[in-house]
Amino acid sequence: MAANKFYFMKLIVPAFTVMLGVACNADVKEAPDKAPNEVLIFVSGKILKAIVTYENRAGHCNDLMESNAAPKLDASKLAALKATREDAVIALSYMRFNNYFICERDARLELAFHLGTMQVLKKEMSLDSHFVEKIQDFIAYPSSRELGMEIKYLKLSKAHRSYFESTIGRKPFDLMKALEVNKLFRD
Amino acid sequence: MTIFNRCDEDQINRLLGLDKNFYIRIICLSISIIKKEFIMVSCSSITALTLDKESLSAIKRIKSQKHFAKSIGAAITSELNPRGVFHSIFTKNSSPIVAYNITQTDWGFYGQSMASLPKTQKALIVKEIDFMIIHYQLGKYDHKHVQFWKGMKYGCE
Repeated sequence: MAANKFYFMKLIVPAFTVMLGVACNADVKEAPDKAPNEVLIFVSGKILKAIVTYENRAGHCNDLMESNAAPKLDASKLAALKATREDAVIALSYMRFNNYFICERDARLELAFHLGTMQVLKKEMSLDSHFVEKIQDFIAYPSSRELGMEIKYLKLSKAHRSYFESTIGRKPFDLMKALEVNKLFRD
Repeated sequence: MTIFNRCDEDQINRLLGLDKNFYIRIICLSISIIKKEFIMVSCSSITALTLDKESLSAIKRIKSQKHFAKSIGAAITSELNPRGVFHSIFTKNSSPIVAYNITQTDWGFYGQSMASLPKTQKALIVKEIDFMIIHYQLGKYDHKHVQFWKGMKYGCE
């Protein structure tokens, strides 16, 4: 745990060295003054705090994902709904990502907000915002594959979705365990 | 066995004649740990694995997280296992024509490097692995690839 935290600091310190480095260096096309740099340092502090909160929250959500019971689908209800194996795999897959997102949402949104603020400020001051964008893409937003999974899930019938949502719930869970418990995993 | 397969709190409650309480949570957590251990020791060696296009793309995305590459480099490219297969997969340019043989030892080193990762990064990698598991569950099935990504998720002791 302590080692992880130390490693994490090693991860974010270079990131903020770059961020603050850009903030503090006179890399401004317009005549720089001290106030904008203070603003950037202030926002950097908020981002740093948000990253630590996000790291802690992600750790908590990972622990929940590992320890929570895998959701159990009722075979007879699936048959009554004429839900296929593929429907069940899609539902479990989508909800694996969605439930994890629900768990870490507040911390992630806060981080995304501060990163967005930094990006806007850097553009306003004509500073290079490439590095902020990179962190933002990496941490803050869902990938096209996650959104694609959501689209697949939304194509299921309303009756199917109601059943899956009421049975699977909103807690984070381990996808592989859920597939194995429900005998959906092709090994 | 049912309890082992699914940590069903209500079932444990009935069996032990207890209300839902802290102890049930402890039992569930213990079962989860036992299951994890069981899965970790049970993952098998894979012979002549030729990674397909989708797996190579996923590995490229994982490799792009430089701290993972650094960590796996430290754990796998050490003098203990200088020619480990994960070293080849994650630190060299993976080619679709290369066939890998993954042994229990390789899985062991991989598991160590995963354990040393920061949690946010581990979560991102697990997410990538889960996408590959879904890919082989919903799309074309390939036993070796399923074994490979299953091992990537849990590692081996």
